[in-house]
Amino acid sequence: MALNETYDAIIVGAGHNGLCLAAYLARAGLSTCILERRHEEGGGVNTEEAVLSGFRHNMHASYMEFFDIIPMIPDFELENSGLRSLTPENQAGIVFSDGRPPIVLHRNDRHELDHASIAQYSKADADTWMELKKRTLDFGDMLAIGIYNPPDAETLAMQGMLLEGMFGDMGVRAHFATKTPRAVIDELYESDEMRTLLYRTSVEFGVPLDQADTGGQILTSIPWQVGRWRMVLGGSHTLAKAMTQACYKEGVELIENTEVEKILVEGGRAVGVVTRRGEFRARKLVACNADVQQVLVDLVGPEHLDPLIYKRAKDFRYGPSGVLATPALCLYDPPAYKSARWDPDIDRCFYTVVGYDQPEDVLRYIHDAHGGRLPEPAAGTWVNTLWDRSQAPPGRHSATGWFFFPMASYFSAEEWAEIRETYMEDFLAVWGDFAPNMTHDNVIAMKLYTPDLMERKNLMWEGDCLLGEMSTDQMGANRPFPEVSDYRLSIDGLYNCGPSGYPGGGVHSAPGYNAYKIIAQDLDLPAPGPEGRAY
Amino acid sequence: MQKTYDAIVIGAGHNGLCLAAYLARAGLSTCVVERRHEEGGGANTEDPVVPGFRFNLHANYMEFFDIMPMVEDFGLENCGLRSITPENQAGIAFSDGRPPIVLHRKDLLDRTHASIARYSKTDADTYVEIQKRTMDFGPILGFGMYSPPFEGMAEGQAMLLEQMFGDMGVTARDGVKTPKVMIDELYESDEMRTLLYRVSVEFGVGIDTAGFAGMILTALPWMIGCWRLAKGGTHTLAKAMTQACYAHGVDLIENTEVEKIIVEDGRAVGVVARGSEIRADKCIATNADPKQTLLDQVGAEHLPANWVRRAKNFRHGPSHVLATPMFCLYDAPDYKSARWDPDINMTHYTVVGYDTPDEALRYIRDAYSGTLPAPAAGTWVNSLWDPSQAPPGRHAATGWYFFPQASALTADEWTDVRETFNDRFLTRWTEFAPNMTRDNVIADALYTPDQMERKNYMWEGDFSNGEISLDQMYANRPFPEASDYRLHVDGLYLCGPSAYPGGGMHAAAGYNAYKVIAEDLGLPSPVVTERGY
Repeated sequence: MALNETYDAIIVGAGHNGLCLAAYLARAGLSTCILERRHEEGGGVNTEEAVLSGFRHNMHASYMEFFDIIPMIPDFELENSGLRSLTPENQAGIVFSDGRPPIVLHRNDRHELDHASIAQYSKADADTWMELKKRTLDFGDMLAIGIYNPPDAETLAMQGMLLEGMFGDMGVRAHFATKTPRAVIDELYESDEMRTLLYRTSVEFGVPLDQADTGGQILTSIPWQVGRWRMVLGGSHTLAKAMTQACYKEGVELIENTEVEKILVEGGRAVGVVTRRGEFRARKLVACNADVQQVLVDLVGPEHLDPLIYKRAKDFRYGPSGVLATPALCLYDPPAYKSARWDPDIDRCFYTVVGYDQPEDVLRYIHDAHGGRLPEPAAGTWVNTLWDRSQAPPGRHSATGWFFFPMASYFSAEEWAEIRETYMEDFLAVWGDFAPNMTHDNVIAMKLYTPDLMERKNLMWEGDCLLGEMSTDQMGANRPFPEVSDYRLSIDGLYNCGPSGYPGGGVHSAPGYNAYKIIAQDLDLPAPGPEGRAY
Repeated sequence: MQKTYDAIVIGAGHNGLCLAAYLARAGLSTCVVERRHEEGGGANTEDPVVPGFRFNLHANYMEFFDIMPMVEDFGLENCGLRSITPENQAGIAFSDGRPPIVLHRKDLLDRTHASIARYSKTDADTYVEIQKRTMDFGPILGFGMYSPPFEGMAEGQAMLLEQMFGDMGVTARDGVKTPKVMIDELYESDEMRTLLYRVSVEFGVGIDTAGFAGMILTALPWMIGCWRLAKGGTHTLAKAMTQACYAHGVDLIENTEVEKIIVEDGRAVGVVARGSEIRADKCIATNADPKQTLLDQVGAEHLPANWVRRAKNFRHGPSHVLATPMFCLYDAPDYKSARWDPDINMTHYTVVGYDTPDEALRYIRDAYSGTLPAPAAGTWVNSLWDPSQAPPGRHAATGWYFFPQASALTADEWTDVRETFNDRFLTRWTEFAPNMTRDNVIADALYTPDQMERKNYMWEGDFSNGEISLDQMYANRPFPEASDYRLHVDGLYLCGPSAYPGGGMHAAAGYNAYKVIAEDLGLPSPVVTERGY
């Protein structure tokens, strides 16, 4: 029994950010341990067989857009630790219930096909999309420099200039950065079909449609990522396991089933944590993958905090925009869409938007979900077994999707139980309008994983997968709030390394990586990457 | 990724992990190829009903930690393995509120005696006497399990019985008896018989299976007293083993099903997995069952006719076929019988649903013969000792139903069982523990044999992957020609539960396979002198 164990570094939470930070710290020579509440590592990087044996479902993170730039992948050779991925040939698509042609956006090596697909509805839209794709092909480097460095208010304020530099000749001015995604989509694209698809894609990426100051993503991140979306072979959890293996190789101790109840502060310095199993002392630092409110309000406590910091932590907000529910379906056959008679690629599309026939449908859906009402069923869907047969029994298919839903606290436990029992039926009825084979006869079993359960499983408060709303006042150098945006949590030796740090939620491990950079500065440790890498 | 290894292990069940760790420690470049996305096979813990409520879907109690070589040899306690040995080990409650029987940890023999003596002083004397004589049985059991089987093993065990218990009237000839007969001869009270019938089955010994009476005198009393639960859930054991594998450089390749074992010139030289080849210079060992291995992956063309016949005749079930109910609870069960002895409410393993020995017998015989039995179970509420297994103040309860084998019911019938059987069990449970009403259940689910088959290729839902009967046990497991773990084709070995000594969380098949491979390849012996095996 590890009572009063002492390490150089203690990390609270084995989410992917915690694992990332731990691996770098251990490599730098610090004795490092991770304390995890659950019995599995990875947090939202999770794959389970929650419905029937052999049918695997990613309950949280599904598509992987950052594998080309995640520093940990090359730095720790995760591909030698079981990480394998696949980039489906058809990346994102939308279908319609009246059997109109779908729009299909393709992998980068065949993205020329995007033009014909979009041009079915608007040649101008097709030209615009192709132009944006061309200009963002190399955006990865810039994005990586942006997210794999601690936030810098001055640089971030120059985003508008960057947009103007990249797209000025297309009529984009710096003020585009202040627009909402919806406004940018509407200004760039004229066809209802393209708007509908992009509305949903924007939301999927974590950018609410009506949120000011985030429209730039429509010009940069979205066209950059659609084309390079990957799935993890075997399921998303394989990434977490590869990271864990890297941690073991560096000598990290991963202690699971151990919830941290208190962070010990002595003389204004974080010196350890209290768990049910006793105390763990940290000679140099404590870093938290857990969210900032829980850390400061519950684990540290107001007695150790400046009143302003305490107030900021209490004011930190979760949801409504990152709140998901995941349907998990075990199928005989993958969906066969009416729209496929125009383009069979839609039946082999990685991410398919189902349930919206016009842009207003998406708007209403999102407004309902964010406003606390259960929306009419619609989803972004994945059928990973089309590419990775290990994820279902032979000849069968596993499908998931994301519903954007009201926050966990909007409904009572009984209401959520009721939703779990009834909503899938409603969704299936809608799906059948778009893909006639999606009847009950095609479903072996199905289940819905709701925000209240996500909160319970991973302490993703309110079911917010981003652990803190991604609004301007909580993004960039304001994340989680200005005074602690440098990952230093106002107490000596206490750091934030989770998604409530910049740049937020998503499987990029950037908060973990950036926290390492800051800690390295404070403790005089080596830089994380090879010399010459700008991030 | 390296495409050629010295050794390939098929299947990352706990036996496969064990073998891989020893092979790698001996200097062989080793990879484990696993079909699923998780390691451990039946050493599994999930929270599929409501997050935060954890359930061990297969293996639950751990009786072998004290004798398992890998725990010691690889310092698994430094790799996250932690366990608890509850004070109250096994118990039975009754619906009419009669006193329970509670069998305690071995340091609490007086309490055990008092509990049994409520029904029969003779039974109490017998049980306590047997427990005393089996206090030090661990090393003997360890030596027996962690050595490859040999001819005459069953007979040798019978001799040992006479040596240990001759003065109690036990002779070597008793070894051929069934557990039921031995229980009936040793114990007179209905209550003790009912409890032991069920415990015997739980340990994997069919009560009507001839030749296993000795277990009632040795393994069973030895193990009740050292049952542990793995903190955090049973999967923690698998993860500790995996970590040990990593520490010795094993490559664990998951999501990769082996389709074919490549045989060239009578020698296993590699596998085909997901369409590509992985080659093995020295050996291939499989955690999978011999039927699948020999018939599907090697192929009859590489085997003598006798081996093909033997593989085809290898039987799965009916005696180890389980279903696991999962209950997310507000409160732990509060038994009527607890007014006599509150310990029954804090017992690790509690038998629920039988008021008489006949009910237990009928249950088991129904299950084995393809009839869904009347609801009853051995139950565990691990959250009583390990709060990490449920949200604060809540409880996670599992149990084992012994059920007909997977093929006895259709897919639709199993679906129906999943939807209805827990309700039937709850109705029965309430008769024993009045608070176990629907109102106390936050949510529940049932994991059935067909699902176990699908998840882990435990054919028929048989957790030993092959019936435990005399003709498939000891030097007959899986069949005589293959009982030395060598699978006819040079360089091909069996390391899973269909080899001696069968299923269970002891990793003995993996350890023994290492011994045999070490002999063949001139690798160091794993035997630690003080340990004796």
